[in-house]
Amino acid sequence: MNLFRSEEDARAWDEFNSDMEWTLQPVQWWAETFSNAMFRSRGRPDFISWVTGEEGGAAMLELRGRLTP
Amino acid sequence: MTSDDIAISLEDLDVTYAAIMAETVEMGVSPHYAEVSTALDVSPAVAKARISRIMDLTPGWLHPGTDLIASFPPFNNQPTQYRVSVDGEQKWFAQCGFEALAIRWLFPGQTVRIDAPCLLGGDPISIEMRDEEILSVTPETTVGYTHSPVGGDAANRPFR
Repeated sequence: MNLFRSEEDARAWDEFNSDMEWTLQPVQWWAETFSNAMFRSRGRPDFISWVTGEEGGAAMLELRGRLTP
Repeated sequence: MTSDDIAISLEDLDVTYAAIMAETVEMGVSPHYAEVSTALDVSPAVAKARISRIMDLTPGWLHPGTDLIASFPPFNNQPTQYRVSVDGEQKWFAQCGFEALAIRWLFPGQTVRIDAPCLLGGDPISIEMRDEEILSVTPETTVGYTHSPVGGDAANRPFR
């Protein structure tokens, strides 16, 4: 889960795997992905209750949807 | 008594998680279970058992073969190439390039800067963010990529 200076650099990385090509996205796309409630909620005083509850489950479902190619 | 014999409620885990996160945000490193024990006024065995359970429920992990917190996302205790500065002070490391983008949510209203070398040649990448805003991305062509599966079923930990 790395950052590269350009798409060309990522593709030239010796560990580049074309099976995971869909993850090659602008940093803005990843920033939006990591804006999911799962990440925004880590500062909550009840985070574990939240993440194991209904709202956390919904956030995870949304996240998985975005991360499904 | 083993850690499996220690009764742990969700409320216990909430308090413990919040204490570790607060310490990590403030100090740049996650505490040892003995420090958590003191902070929460519980026995070391209880603190250790709670941390172990938290690691089961989150994408964090202990260093293999130890009771030391290695990763407490979005942060990493073990230094990574993702150095994070907040309002000009660098003392945090991100778990990975993607989690680095989530650190801003723990510093509301503050400017979070990520500095990292590109894995292809080591040339610099920097990103500045504040709350909802991406203030700068250098170079503008910066991308994210992973060859590790994300979003899959592996222990329900999409970012591990």
